[in-house]
Amino acid sequence: MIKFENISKSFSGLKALDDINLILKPKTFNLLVGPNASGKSTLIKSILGLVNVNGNLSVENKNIRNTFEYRNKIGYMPQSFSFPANLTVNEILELVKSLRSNKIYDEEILYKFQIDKIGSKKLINLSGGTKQKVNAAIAFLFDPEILILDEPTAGLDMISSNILKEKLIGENQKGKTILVTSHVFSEFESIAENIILLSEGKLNHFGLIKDLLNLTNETKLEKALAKWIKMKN
Amino acid sequence: MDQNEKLKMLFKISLFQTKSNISSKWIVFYFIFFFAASYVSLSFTHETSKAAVNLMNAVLFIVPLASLLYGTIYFYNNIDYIIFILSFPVKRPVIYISLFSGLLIPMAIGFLTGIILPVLLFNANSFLSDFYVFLPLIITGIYLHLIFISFALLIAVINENKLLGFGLSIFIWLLLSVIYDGIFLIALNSFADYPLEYFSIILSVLNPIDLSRIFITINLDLVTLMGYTGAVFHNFFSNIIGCLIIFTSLTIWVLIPLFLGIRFFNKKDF
Repeated sequence: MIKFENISKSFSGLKALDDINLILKPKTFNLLVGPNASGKSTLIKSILGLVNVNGNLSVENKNIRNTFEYRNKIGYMPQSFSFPANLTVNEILELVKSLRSNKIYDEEILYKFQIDKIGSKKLINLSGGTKQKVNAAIAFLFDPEILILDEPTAGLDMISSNILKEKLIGENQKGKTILVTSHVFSEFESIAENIILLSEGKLNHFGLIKDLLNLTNETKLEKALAKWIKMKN
Repeated sequence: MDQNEKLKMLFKISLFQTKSNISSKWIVFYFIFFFAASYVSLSFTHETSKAAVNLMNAVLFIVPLASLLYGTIYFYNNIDYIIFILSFPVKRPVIYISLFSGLLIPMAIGFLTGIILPVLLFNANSFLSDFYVFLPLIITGIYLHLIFISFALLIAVINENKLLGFGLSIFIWLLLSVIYDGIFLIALNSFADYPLEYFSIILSVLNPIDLSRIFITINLDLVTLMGYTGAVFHNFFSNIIGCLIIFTSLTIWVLIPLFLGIRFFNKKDF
């Protein structure tokens, strides 16, 4: 469970997060959406302890302030994959494995993406899509309880994108908590359970996707969100 | 996380940083520069001590500049990688020290092999005695790497703006290697009627490049070329206490920016 209590964060006077109160229950699949500069990245970074926020943020009922061990429970896939270009894929996997105490690995997606076959290749020689596959494989590698994925399908082809989505469904069924951001709502609207809508750092809406569709009388999430924002304004 | 685990992680991250940096074209260029400088000096002079004197200025000017620029550029260019590593269960100071050593080791290897290999190529039989002549250069070179890489990381941590960080790096280099000496000379000239021995010693201690220069000149017996000031420095620094003062000051120059960097890195929002 991830619990945000009165979470605020400002950068040079601009509020990136404004009094966020939110509980992401265990085993839920949450889709985080919002326009540019709405605070999505800051929200994710706050869970990972990358930004210092005001308020109480707890993961699995433990306040994360000044701690780092809780990150053993989190698998994170950043939007862009950026490792030193001179390293090989195997070296990167070896490096990340050495950073976690968990020594049981989930390498399913690694094989499905055929990353095992490009282990000796240097990052500089990989395409953007292949880098993104390595990026995804690292997030799942440690079989974490919580998965946070920032625009996970960006740069992936259709087949890889489907493999990733199937993996996410499977992990959610196994009881993992999932938080995904995406600009392409259609990719996740059928598999995510909850939607978190941020605008200007504020929590605009949080609830079941099907409730939002019913409330706005729409069948597509994109239209439902547009209608919801209009209704709120 | 116990101490042993922390050290293991520090070693692992440093190792990968080193691996990644050592094959960088900049480090290769850095090695070639010192190799060429050392080779040319030895070819022209045929005497290790004279070659060491020639190399002194290259070490005193290039090492601080390269450390500052490479350190800041590396941090800015790899900020996404640093953020990704920070999302793992690792303490921030461990990551910072790993970044520091991952920059220091490849640069120091490039510098050391560049300087020493030509000595070995020219006269392998007298390598040990020649190496001893080069030792003051090597020691100060390593200290200058330590000092200016810690400055580079501090600058990059406190400035998110690449251009500002880059400019600040060049300014610090200019200040300590050129402007400071200018101010120093003007001060000495303006107050020439007063006894300035201790004043000049204090001013030298406040600049790591000057301190390094003093250490090299004393050990290469170049003080005679420096006239009266050289004699004062020789009297003050050429004994054990003087050496202790030089190395304590240089160590403080390493530790202050390093600790400040760790402090800011710990509190930084990424």
